[in-house]
Amino acid sequence: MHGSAAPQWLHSGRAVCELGIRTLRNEIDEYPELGREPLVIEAHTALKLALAALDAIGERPHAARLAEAQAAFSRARDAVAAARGRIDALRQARTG
Amino acid sequence: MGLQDGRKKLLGVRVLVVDDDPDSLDTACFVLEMHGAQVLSVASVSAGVAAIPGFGPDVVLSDLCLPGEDGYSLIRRLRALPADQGGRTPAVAMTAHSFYEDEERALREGFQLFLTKPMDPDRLVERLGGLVHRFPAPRRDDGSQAGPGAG
Repeated sequence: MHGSAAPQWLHSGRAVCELGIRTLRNEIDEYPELGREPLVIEAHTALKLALAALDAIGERPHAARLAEAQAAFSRARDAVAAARGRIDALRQARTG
Repeated sequence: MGLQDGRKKLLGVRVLVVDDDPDSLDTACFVLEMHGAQVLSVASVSAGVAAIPGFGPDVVLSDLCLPGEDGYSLIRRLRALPADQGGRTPAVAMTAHSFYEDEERALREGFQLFLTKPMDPDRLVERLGGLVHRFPAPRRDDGSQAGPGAG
């Protein structure tokens, strides 16, 4: 969060984290070995933490909680990017 | 369309995102990158137009309400470019205003799609994935095929 505390950001941020978790689960369904990949596990954890941080903001946003949510969201974004690299490499190796 | 389909459709797709709100920019970039897109984000129309020749986006995603030049200015400047310089690049308008007149104007000015905020990531992936396949990117000057399925 960049200080705007916009409710729409909270809504979208939550939806993005939920989508990220579902996406990782789908990737693991397709390639079960991804479930043991540290980067994928880290990304999954980071998304759940970001979700929790967003939920903690509740209906009365507090600056410190907003900052925490922003940081957690950024960490999740980085973690997912790292996991995606691993997933793409695996996918490419499988498909040639 | 399932998530896997969305991911496959956005894999390698270059998306230029124009939004002055860092939070909106973050969420849009996050969800697009998550699905394999190559994303360039900018905060103004002038920066977006300047980025087009070098980045060669397959699709442009722009907020309509921007300070100074707005999203309508962006689409006019984009459509004024020659086709081989990105003038026909498909474009998506995003706005918190969901009035029919806004959508009608956005489509009339040259956007292909109109999406409302708050962003629904599933919908964004689905609609963007569909759009880039309806409007495949032209072959680039370097001979490489831009867009989905490239590489």
